[in-house]
Amino acid sequence: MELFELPAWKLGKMMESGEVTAVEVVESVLSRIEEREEILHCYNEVYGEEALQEAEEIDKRRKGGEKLPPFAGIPVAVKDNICVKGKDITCSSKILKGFISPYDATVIRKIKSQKMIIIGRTNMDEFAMGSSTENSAYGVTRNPLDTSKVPGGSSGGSAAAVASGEAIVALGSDTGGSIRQPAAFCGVVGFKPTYGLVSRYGLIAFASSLDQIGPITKDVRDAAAMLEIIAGKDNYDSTSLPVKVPHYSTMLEDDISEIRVGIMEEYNAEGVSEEVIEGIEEVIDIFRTMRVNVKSVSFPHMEYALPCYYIIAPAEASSNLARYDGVQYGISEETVEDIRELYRKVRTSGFGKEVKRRIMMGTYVLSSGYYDAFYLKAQKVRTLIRHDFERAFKDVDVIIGPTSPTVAFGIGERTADPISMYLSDIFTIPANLAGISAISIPLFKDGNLPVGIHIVGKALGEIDILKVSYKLEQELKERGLYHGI
Amino acid sequence: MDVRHIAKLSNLELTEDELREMEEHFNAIMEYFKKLSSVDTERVEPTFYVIKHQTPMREDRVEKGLEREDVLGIAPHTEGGYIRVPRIR
Repeated sequence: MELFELPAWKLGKMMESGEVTAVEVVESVLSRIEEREEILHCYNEVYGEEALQEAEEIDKRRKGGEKLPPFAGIPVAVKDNICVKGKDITCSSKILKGFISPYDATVIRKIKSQKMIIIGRTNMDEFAMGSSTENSAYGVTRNPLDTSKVPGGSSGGSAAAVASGEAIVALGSDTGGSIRQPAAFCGVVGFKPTYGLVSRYGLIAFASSLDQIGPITKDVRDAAAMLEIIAGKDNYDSTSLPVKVPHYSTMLEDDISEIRVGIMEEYNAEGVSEEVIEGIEEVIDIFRTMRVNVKSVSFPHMEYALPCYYIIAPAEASSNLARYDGVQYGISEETVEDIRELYRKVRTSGFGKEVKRRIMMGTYVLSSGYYDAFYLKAQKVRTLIRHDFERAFKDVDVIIGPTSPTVAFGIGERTADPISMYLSDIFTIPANLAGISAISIPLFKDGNLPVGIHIVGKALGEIDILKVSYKLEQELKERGLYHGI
Repeated sequence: MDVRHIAKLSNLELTEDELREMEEHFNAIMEYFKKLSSVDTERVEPTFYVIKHQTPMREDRVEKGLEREDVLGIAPHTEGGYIRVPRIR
């Protein structure tokens, strides 16, 4: 077993006991990058030398008898839309070329205080708009499990990095499924926390009422530990919740017999592939065997979630992305007549096709005469989707379904038809609209591409989700449906 | 729908080919959105934010902000400590 294959919690223990050094861990990951990166393209930039220096520093301090945090020396990949002071950040867009973050995002401050090592910034769909990491100005990322397939998106670089061992853990962001869907496609764990649990300060905004930062990891234990590190109230984000962060990782092995498990009735709806349906049925069987009572729950407004999202998210994006005008940062133009021309020129050459499409969709649904018919209507339907969850959570504590209707699809397969691309987020979007928590954990069967098992919980229901998914992960191992990396 | 007008409102310039493709995709997407009109939203309040919107007050204390040089350093054109812009008319 190579070091890059191991989860962070195991490596942390090994470093603490002196069995391995931080330098050895970083070197293992860097050699993996050397080996795989040319094909996969997980990263927009790797900070190899700095990472090694930090690792040396950590080893020196440990040798000197200093007690360091459990994840000190663990290499973490960061999605290229989270600010790291003094580093470039592009959102995989040309428009931000040359932008250097003047400050650390709150999550970065937190992982730095744990002495984790930032190994690089990962590729993504431009401004997190996409489901395949094909909409990047810097080239596509490939799925490490099958390089003819997409890694999912928009946090495709982060998911592919963790799945390939080019990172031990990663941070992503999730607006409509951008952590969970790529985690599902690459066969790793992805967690979208409750809206407001993790500070968004320093996350470049896409749709502010939906965006949330979360971890992508090799297993549930790492997800719990990472969530513990990045969660918490932050004065720099007025939407961050004033809650005490529980010690998730110490509760994983707790008994789950009190947790009521629901299955989303719509899991086998039209468009869901056979292997995904089989995956969910396998999970139902696992719970039945464990004598966990599984109840079917229905979502009458499920089919409206996608159009609802594709009105609200672009509306917020069209407003958030108005700031890219060539004045304060990013690329600019020299020879322009006036400021209007500057705006037009910079935005036209700086944004990619999908971003332009979303800005225009957002502009349209917010424009006078259409606001009530589209935008306001969508916000009302959003309330009905929330009510669907509220009703379901009277009977159950977590709801299981697929993360995506299919396993990873081929590169180029859906780029010509935006709606077919949008459909891959149909199961993840409702959790963002309702602001609740959700995880994707992988199920591997017969050497096929993995199926993402989606477990949705209440607002601040992280503990229930983590306990159930930990248990499920153990059972998948028992049945040979678990791959590790 | 006037895609050209929406592009203008968005401060984007599209070529004729791009406009044609955008219009095609736009119409398909908007057709799909029409699904929503069949939902009864009579007496339903909109959800703009999932958490109760708050304007938390902080203690009135001076805190160190970002370094002026760091912030001006990322602007494409500066002059004498200011950001320089083209003519505004």
